[in-house]
Amino acid sequence: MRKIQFALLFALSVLLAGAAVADGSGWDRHDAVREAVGDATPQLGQLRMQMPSVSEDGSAVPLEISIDHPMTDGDYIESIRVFATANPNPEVVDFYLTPLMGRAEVSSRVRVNESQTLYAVAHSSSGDVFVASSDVRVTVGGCLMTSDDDIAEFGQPRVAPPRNLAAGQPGEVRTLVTHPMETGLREGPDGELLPRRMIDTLIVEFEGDTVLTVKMHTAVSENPYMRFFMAPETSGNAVFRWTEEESGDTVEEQMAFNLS
Amino acid sequence: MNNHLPWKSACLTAVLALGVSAGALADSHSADLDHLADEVLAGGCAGCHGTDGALSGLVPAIAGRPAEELEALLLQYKNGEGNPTVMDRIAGGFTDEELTRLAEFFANR
Amino acid sequence: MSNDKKNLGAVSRRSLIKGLGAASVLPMVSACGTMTGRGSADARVVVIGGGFGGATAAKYLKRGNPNLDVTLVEPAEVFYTCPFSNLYLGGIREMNEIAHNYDELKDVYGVQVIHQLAQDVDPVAHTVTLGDGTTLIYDKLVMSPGIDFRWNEIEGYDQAAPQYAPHAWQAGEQTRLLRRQLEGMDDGGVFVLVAPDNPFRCPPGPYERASMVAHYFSQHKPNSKVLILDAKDNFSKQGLFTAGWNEFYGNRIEWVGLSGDGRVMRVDAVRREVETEFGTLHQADVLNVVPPQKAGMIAERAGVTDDSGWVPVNPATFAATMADDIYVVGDATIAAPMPKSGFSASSQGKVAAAAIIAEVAGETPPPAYFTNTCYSLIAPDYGISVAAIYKTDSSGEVEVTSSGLSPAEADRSTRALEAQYARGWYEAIAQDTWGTRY
Ligand SMILES: Cc1cc2nc3c(=O)[nH]c(=O)nc-3n(C[C@H](O)[C@H](O)[C@H](O)COP(=O)(O)OP(=O)(O)OC[C@H]3O[C@@H](n4cnc5c(N)ncnc54)[C@H](O)[C@@H]3O)c2cc1C
Repeated sequence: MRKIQFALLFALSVLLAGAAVADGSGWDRHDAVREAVGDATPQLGQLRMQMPSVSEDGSAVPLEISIDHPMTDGDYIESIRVFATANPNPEVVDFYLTPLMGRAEVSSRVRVNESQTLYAVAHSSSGDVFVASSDVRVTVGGCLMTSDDDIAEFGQPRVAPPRNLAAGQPGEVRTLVTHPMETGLREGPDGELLPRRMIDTLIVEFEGDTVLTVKMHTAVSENPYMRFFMAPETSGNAVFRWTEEESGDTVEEQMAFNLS
Repeated sequence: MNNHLPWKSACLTAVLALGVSAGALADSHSADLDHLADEVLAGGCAGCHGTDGALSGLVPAIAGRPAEELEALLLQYKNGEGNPTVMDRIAGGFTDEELTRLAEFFANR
Repeated sequence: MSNDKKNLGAVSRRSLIKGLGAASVLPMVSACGTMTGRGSADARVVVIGGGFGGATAAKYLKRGNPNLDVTLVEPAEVFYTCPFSNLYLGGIREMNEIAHNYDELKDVYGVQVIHQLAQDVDPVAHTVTLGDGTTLIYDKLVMSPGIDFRWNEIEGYDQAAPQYAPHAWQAGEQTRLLRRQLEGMDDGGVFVLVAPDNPFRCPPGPYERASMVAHYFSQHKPNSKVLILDAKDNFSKQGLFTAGWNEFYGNRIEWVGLSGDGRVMRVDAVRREVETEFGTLHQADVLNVVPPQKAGMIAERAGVTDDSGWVPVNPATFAATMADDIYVVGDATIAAPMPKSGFSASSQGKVAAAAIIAEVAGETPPPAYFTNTCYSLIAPDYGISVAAIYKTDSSGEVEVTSSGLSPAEADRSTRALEAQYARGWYEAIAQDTWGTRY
């Protein structure tokens, strides 16, 4: 009885509020998303995009994208790109994946300027295209006003390796580096635009092979955070390299992965 | 709230039918609806000044003080004058007309 | 709505029902399950939760229309406020000074108070089932159930953990436990406070707590430290807190934000050990975990929460968007830009009460106004505040018409005045909500 009521209530409230189910539909209304999809007809409902429906701090909104899909040399997800259609620059972040990841699941923290729908577009190596979306309402919470603005320097790389690594099994890796990710669109205290200063990429290698390339855009939050999976077949060395745009400066962290 | 659920509309219709069939009955409001809007406008003030603004404690009472005095104070705070601490931020959230209504509301408590 | 108003003309729906007499009315309306047993009252209103939002709503319902039948359901006979519980931890206030009861609501306002837990709400039948099996029927339901915790979202912080590593984010026994642990700690120990990501109850709360614990240490355990591990990079009134900490506590308080590896992923409550996102282990002597939160359980049972775990509402009335005749106020709601504070809950309780009074009389609810002022004490005579006024605009959305922090540059007398007004605020809101007089 209760179950039925809830199902009914839910169905009705969705219907009556005219709420768009965030399954990726509507993607074709946005140039950037359309371009990323290309000529293929995308499949909706398989790619999952998780973001909080309400965020009280648009400067760092958690984002997670995943899909149940093989990650083998023959067939794998090769890219996941994210778009925030109402941001000044719709591109958010692009992940270029490889079979060495073992699982197509990535997370980050991103800037969402105003309430809007964000889209994710994934391409598989065999030519399939998947689209997902997520509605985010941004309202700055009332007690959250801060008056502090420390400038982060480029450095302090952090990597959390998987807790247990078994050969070929995907293990979770978390990375963070401090960097201001200054967009060039923001005014400083003196009213002048602060010069653009961005990280361009994070490249992850294992024993010389590229595992993941992350291309960052202006919507990646300060101190970029990336979470993903790695599934090495053997023990070996992983290298994590962040490269700054313009200057080409890099920050690197190396880590030995030992299979248990 | 526009999402009237079907069972709710049925209820409304039932009540509506009642209303029409008994339209001539006399009314005696037990709710004081005239002051409801002012009560809501002034609701937040009680958070620091007590119910009806009548608490005289660490924060001064405002109930029963002359409307002109209260209005002048509120306008002063709104302009950031008179060592307002928090009251500039409070008064600044209301139009001058709303401040007049607030002053009258508390003067009559 | 506008239709039925027109048809009724000047005659309120309530008086019609009264005039017709219960016998003739019942068969017709019992199908709606809404009016049974109303007697001579204008409407039956049930309020769940006797905290800031619920107690305020109950009082203002009765003040606005004494002819409403108002029943308050609240398990506790004594309510301890979270506001000023940090002062108790700082040793500058006692538990009996943050305790409130329901005598004024019962004796002065005629609210029926039932000390039970509401187990279930049936939004279709308009009923509330209590812990003892009693069923209450409502025409309008107000819920202000506060928060519940998301157990195990931080690995290891489950329902058993708070007896070792208290949250003290609902005041009472937990607050006492935390103070006992602080008192029992050897000098030179570390108090670790794990702060959650937004949204959560009382955004400045963890930082006021850190201040008050540092104050207690400065008086009694001068070699002890406070370490805040935070799941976010910015916090409420950050600049003011940081400046105040520097002034009073030097390096006694350390704050580690998200980007500094402050997010805690795992807790061993018994050993008081925490592990952060990038694998740093911290050993605490006293461990205080403020876990991630969601709306109080009963909101979920009533089916009014969305996938965020909180309750979406129409801000003009605080009616839940997912069911009719249910109003939800306070921490349980998605009310941003209003923060989850006692002041907001009280303000929302008044707006919901007015909306119900108007609707019962067949009128349109008046325009909504909300106030919030959050005071925090950094030291006993050093207060800071953030304040804002909110209105609903013509489209029914909340608009912030004014907001601001205490000035960054202010002399000690201004901070002392704000500390005094913080105490004044507590005195006033306690009087306004529960009638407590000190
Ligand atoms: C340390 C700390 C400091 C704070 N300081 C301040 C401050 O200075 N100023 C400020 O404005 N706010 C402050 N707050 C925030 C404030 O405590 C909350 O915002 C406020 O309590 C919210 O009110 P509420 O009515 O939503 O919930 P509550 O006040 O928590 O009331 C909820 C009530 O509902 C009852 N309940 C729950 N479920 C049921 C059920 N199923 N059946 C019956 N009853 C039920 C509970 O027993 C409880 O009494 C602070 C919070 C903390 C933790």
